Amino acid sequence: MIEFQRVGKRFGKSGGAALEDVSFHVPQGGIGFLTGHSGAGKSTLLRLAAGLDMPSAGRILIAGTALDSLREARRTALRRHMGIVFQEHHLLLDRNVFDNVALPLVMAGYSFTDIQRRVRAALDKVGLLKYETASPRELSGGEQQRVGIARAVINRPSLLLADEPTGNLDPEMSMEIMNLFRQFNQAGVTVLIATHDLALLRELGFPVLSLRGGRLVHNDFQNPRMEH
Amino acid sequence: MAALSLKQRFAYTPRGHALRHSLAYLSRARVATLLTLLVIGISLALPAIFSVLVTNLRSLDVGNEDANSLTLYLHMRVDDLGGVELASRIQQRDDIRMTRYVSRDEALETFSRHFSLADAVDTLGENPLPGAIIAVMATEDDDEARIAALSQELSALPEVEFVKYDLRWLKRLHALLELVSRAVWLIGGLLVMTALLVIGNTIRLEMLRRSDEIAVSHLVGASRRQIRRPFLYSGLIYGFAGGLLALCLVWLSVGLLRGPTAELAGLYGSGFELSGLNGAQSGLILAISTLVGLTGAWFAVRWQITRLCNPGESS
Repeated sequence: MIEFQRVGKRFGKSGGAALEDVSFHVPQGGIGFLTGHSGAGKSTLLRLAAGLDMPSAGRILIAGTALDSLREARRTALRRHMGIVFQEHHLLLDRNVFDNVALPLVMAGYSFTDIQRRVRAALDKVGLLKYETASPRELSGGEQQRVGIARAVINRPSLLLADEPTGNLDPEMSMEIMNLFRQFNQAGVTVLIATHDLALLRELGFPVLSLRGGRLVHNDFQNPRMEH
Repeated sequence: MAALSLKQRFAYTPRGHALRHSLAYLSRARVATLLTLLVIGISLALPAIFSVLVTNLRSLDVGNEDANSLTLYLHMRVDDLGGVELASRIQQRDDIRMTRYVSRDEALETFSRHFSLADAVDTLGENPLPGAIIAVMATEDDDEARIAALSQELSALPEVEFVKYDLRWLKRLHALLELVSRAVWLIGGLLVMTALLVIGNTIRLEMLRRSDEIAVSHLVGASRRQIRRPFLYSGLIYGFAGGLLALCLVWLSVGLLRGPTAELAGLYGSGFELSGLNGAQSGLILAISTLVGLTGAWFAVRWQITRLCNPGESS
């Protein structure tokens, strides 16, 4: 599902390497953690996987499609089949919970009836249906993260990328969020979660990709098919 | 209920969504929005007001031909036949292009039509106005010596009591209006450019303030067109509302000037009345302002969107 082939990423002409020679393959329906210290390259890797940035070297394949072969408009369209969750929630504070979750569907051109049905189902799934008219400001950190997850899965993505989704949450809430990811994975969604929470890694036992200084130093997934 | 449903349905279409959030943003930042609209409105109203004044002054202009003519007032003893013969004789001169004889009756009729004191003439019992010949000169230069010599020569004719060349000011007004008209176009262009820059900068700031929305929309798969749309709508709204404000300012200004202008014209015995913008002119101002809004927004969005969709990343 996600395949990195000797991927490197540099920022600017003289900038250092944020990622170097990274290769791995997360299979369809897989779930795993991406770990590493702050600055190891986790966010860069997730942005590359989401097609938000392009690699300086190597190839990235999402569901068999090479991202570098797609124009920006096609990469944008591909992102509609992905869900992306961030530590900072990235909720829009000028609109209510319903409108935040509905955003991907509005952009995809769904009818209001479909939007209403699917948003309510997603909010119900994350246990926040009663807050659909509330402002994100009225919610706790964990609830805001769950709204972010509802928005990420509203398009029924085949791939879910999460960047430190439990960074600001207490252990109990973190586990609740992880259980949501596990449920989506059991429904067939491929999930890659960036975290440096060792307790979660130990407790959940998902396969791990570990980065250090932009290099992949540990890979619990099978080795990717290399094309030399 | 059905109307509400329709409104809701529109609000969740991509276009309705963009329009709803643009209006919501402008409404939230209402002081900034109002100030921007005032700047745009005044920038567009100033050239429009100048243009209205120039158009009105042009209606006073009697044209080059009249401005290039001499008026020969005849003695009272010269009858219409003598006047016509004299006009015909004068027209044969090389330095005169054409002549027109104005009879005493025609002069009285014109006087009665234009001046409120005309009724008083009736009390005199007989027409006090002389016949006149309007002689249009063959050349249009402003050679004062030539005109003076010609005037002197014509006033020496026995039928002519005196010669007047008092329409020079109209010729000068005409030239002045040409100059002012060009200045209005120039200043108007600069002010429209100002409005365009103001809108562009306002949209740029709006994009910075709504950068979270842009980033999130980009993440969830919004196309560039969808990301641009709310800001283009904001530009359209600024342009259209600014145009409406400009029209209001023009109407207000013309309304305030109309009274004093009519009073001044009345002192000169004229029924001149200041006229405002007609429907077509108003429509043109609205169209220009809307286009300016859209163009300003377009440039700002093009300049800003790449930077906001691909901000610097940290690992």
